[in-house]
Amino acid sequence: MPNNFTSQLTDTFDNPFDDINANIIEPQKILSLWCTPFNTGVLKDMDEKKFRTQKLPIILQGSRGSGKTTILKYFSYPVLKERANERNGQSLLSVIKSERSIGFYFRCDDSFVNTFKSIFENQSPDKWLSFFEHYLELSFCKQIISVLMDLNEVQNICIKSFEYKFIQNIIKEVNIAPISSATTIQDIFNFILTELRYIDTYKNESIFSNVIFTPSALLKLYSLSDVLINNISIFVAELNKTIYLILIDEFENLTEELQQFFNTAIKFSKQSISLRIGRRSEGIVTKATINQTEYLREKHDYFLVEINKGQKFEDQKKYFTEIAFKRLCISSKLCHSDGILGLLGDKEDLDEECREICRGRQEHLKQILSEKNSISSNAELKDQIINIIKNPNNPIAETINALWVIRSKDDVLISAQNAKEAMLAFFNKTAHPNVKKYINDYENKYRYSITVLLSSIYKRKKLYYGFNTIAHLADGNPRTFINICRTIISDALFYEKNRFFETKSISKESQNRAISEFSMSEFENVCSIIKYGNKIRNLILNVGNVFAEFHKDKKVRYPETNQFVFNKLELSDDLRNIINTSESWSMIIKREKTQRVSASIDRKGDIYYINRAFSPIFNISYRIRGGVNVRFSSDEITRMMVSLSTERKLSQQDKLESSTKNDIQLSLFNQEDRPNE
Amino acid sequence: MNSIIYHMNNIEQCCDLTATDTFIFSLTTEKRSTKSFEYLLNNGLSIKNIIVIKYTEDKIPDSILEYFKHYNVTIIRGDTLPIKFIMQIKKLNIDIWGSKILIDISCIKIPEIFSIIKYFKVIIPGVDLQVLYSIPYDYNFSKEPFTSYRSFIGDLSMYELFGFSGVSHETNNDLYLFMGFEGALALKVTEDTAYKELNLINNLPSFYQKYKDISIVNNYQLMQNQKSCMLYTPADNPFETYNLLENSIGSDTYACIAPLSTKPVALGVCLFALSHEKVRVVYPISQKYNASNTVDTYKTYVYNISLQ
Repeated sequence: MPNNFTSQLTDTFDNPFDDINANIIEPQKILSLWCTPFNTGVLKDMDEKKFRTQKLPIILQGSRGSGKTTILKYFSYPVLKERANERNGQSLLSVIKSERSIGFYFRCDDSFVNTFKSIFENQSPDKWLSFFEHYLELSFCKQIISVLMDLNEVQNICIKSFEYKFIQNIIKEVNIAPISSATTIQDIFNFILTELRYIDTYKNESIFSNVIFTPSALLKLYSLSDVLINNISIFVAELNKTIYLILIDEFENLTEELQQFFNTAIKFSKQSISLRIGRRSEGIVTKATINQTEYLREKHDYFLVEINKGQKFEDQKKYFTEIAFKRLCISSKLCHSDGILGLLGDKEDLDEECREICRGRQEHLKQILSEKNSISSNAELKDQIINIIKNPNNPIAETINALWVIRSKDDVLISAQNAKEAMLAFFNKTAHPNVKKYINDYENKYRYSITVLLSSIYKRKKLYYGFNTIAHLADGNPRTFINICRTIISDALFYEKNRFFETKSISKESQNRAISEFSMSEFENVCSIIKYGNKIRNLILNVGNVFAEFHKDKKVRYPETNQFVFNKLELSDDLRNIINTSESWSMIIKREKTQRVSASIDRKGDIYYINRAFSPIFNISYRIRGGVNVRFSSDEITRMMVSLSTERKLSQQDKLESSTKNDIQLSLFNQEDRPNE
Repeated sequence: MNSIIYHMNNIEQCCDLTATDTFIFSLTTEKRSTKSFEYLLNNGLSIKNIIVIKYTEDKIPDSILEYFKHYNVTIIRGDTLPIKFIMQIKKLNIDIWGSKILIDISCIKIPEIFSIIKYFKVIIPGVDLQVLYSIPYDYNFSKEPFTSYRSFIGDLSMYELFGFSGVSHETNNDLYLFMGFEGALALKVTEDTAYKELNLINNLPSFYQKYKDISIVNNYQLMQNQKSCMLYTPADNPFETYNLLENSIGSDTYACIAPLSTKPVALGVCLFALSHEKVRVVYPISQKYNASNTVDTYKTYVYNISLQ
């Protein structure tokens, strides 16, 4: 009899967002969780068929967690086999025939590459690349023959019926001594396995002894694989139009020489073999080939496909909704809930949040009004104004009123009355000369900034919750989105399990707690493992603190400032490398298009922002807004990397603005992001 | 059930430590680096050759130089690329080693421990090793005693430890990660290594009770984020680590191991990987390390190892 302490099977719950890293997800799950990015906002001008069958190599570029591995693995042979399993009545061979491609996934494992290079370079500095080429060709051939053997095993083909002629052709076409005596495909397979074993043994033993690397044959890339493929297409008619894809993942882990080697392979590809390369941003990889004079040219040698390029926010939300739907469907306890929106809610209720922060208090009004000299020293006047503009049920509105008062050049009491009337006209939907401006200020420009400001004045943290917020924080990155959802569900399971299972929804407090925890731990974790981690950590903390200062400005002059600019060309090579690493790990993100560097400057340049997922660390806005961008000199960037010494940029911005602007900058928003999106 | 019969003793109870051909140890600013060396010499140990592994340019203390006067001393740089370290070992005359070797691994870094033992396995396969390890009285925590331990400075690079690459075209195996005090090391391993199942191993018993909790605090994120199985091994017993791996992995299974825990545990991993060629050992190596990570010495163990 089960006792009270024994957990029942029915009580167990697997977090549907637990599987985060495509590297460790099994093929069957890759397939079941697959949400096609093709022909969606994620990969706009690329369809699945073209990606599979295009002969020109394709470079798939995207940030960490953007889905490169999932995409490459989706086209790999193990997942193809799963697809065949799912299509009842269709044989593996017919699935390969209909898809017209087989992909072989190779991950550029950092530790493997580092050790391989060290050992073989130590043996022969000039030849280690050819040893790697040999290893790669053997691995590729092994996988090609494994497919043949699989097809034979499931009786889609009969190797015996063509084996003799197949082997004779191979022997005739390749000049590899150990193969000349082969009589079966298994013999060739054994040769490959023996050679791979020899490499392993050599790697494990040679460095300690003085043995020289002497493989029985040194294969060039495609020297055997191309011949195998050509003959497969002759003897297995169904495969005669098949493209063999070498799927190379984490290209940026390769040494420069190996990148050049693969670039050469891209430039000189074969008829039936093509490459698909997954890599992060361009700054950390080379375009050179091994002959040092030829460089890769986009569209000529390869197609560059950038994940999430130009993806609209609504498309991101749609994609995330689909990702979440697939995962929630798997969970028996959540499959009937109203999807991710039901679980997390959609948008934040800023009015409610501000009411909870202020709880009828007027400290925020006092502090904002004190920003104007003529009011700060006159307590009686301040009280008079507060009595006019106050609206305890709507702290955002009363704060806007206060801002109107301190910005007006008119008499403060008249300004207060004017603000109040505009507010009432807005709420009562009546006419007033300033009601249009009021609507814009209330519904668009200031809602978010005022919420952050009020939380700062009352020493509270701005709450981050709701699907809309999470989509903003994830900024198009599926792994970040899945990770945040996973953390939120874990938090709910711990703090509000009963409520969670009863309502199939999660409170905003639980969401906020989980998001804050995720934000900090993701930041610290990435900084702890990446190259230049300490410097990148300092830089981001300093830049984030500058933005936090802008968000606490009681005059709310530069609302939601969260972008910065600097001239990368002015940086030293070392600093540029650090910036490139930050970009490749998506610690900082460059806006896709060059834009006007700041509201008051009529010059275009690159605009950067901190990964949106880190916004909760600094209590800053995650929305993309235009207007003022904080400018940093190369000296400031250098200083910020070295230590935690936040630059005082708000006062500098004041000086800059007062010398250039002729109006308050609040009208300079570029309206990219709609309020409450 | 134990797979091997083993011998481990407190140094004070070891009566067979009277003579050795070669004594290998690392000279650092940590007190325990010379603890067993001085103890054994003061108790009449006869040594022919001394190999000192140095990780810094620091001057050798006069008290140690005094000892060195009487022996054939070779200094090897440890603060170099792993491959260069092995090249230095290989350059030594093979006769230097003799048939009885003592290694004090207290302050030798884990990658170098693996390299040295693998070298002996390949070059002097029948050699008997006596491995010494001084358990620290405590570790250096720069701030609060839970998360502030930091042994490395600078950037980490992942390596397969030389001689322990396993079978390279079988990469998607179970990962056995022995947790240490530094979450960053474990995160680096899981970020860069593809694996099927993650097995996290903590120390039980640990040197002191709180140490196993410190490991959990520092690896909490990993334990939360990844579906993993939790296993335990004693912090001071390489043979039990061997047995744990033998029971969990078996004798003919591909696996990847990251020994981020104590050195006795790493020694156990090393012995297991030496006799299981399908096992791959990975380790994040830093450009630079802190010179001193421990305070004083609690006690010293001697492990008798046969590399046959």
